[in-house]
Amino acid sequence: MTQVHAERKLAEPTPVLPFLQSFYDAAIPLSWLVIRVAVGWNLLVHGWGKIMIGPTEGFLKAFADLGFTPPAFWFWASTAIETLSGVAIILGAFTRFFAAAAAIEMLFIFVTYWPTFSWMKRGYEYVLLWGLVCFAIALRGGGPYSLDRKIGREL
Amino acid sequence: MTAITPEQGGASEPQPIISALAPFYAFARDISYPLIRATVGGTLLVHGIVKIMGPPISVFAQQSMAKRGIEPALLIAWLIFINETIGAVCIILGLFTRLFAASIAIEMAVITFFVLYPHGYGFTQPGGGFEYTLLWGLIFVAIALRGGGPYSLDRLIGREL
Repeated sequence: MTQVHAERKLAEPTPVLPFLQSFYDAAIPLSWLVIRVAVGWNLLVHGWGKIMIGPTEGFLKAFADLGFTPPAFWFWASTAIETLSGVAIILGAFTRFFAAAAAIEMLFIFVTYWPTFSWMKRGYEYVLLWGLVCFAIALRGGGPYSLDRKIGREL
Repeated sequence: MTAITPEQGGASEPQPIISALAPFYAFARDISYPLIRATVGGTLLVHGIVKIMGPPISVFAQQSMAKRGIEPALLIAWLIFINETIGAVCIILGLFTRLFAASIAIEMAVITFFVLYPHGYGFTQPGGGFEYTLLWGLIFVAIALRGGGPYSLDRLIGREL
């Protein structure tokens, strides 16, 4: 990050408390990692949860009731996206591809939850936030502390 | 691209496999972070507007704070109202970003660990699980670390907390 550090000051605001500069130099690159882990972890919990429970009657009925037929296909498609995207986004590997896949899944769910907003009432608020952050990750790519950056090439 | 910001990454940024996409990515990387600010700030603002339109703040303090043993109830109720209205707008605009993001992150941490944690993880649990406020709060932590970033008033002003 040394090269970035040298030129960052051209665009970054000066801290009101100057002694915080060295903390911010370390904190700013960590910010993107926090976002990736927060989103990826949540995806992984949902994907792994589905793998552990399996395509039970109740699960498949819930998918079919939302209009996702055949339900087994959509069950495994969403499980694959959530598990693989979760791991990939946390590690920052093939980030854009997997973040876009998760964003598209969230768009599907968003449509089924529309028009209720509040997450407390099974509204679209949660998947809207989750999906837009996934979309932002697709725009940004792996960023600092990612395997994409280590590899040096990305989609 | 004159200034190499953390978003642009400079030479540390990976080369695109499809090289024709490089100019698009230079643009996309810069709008990514303001999109996140608008997303979490926008959803929070909806909750703030609902609170303003709802019962008076003293009732909210009694029902949502004092009942759970959160004191001083009225002061904290005011902080929540400020977070979810002025704070949410400031996060979207990128003004005093770190201050409000940290304040909102603390609010989300209290909701996550003290209010919703006993209900379990999934957001469909009775009373609401903690997964949503955990995700939401962690993104505010990230914003508090990052500051205003591209397309923010903080950057326009040139000084920030």
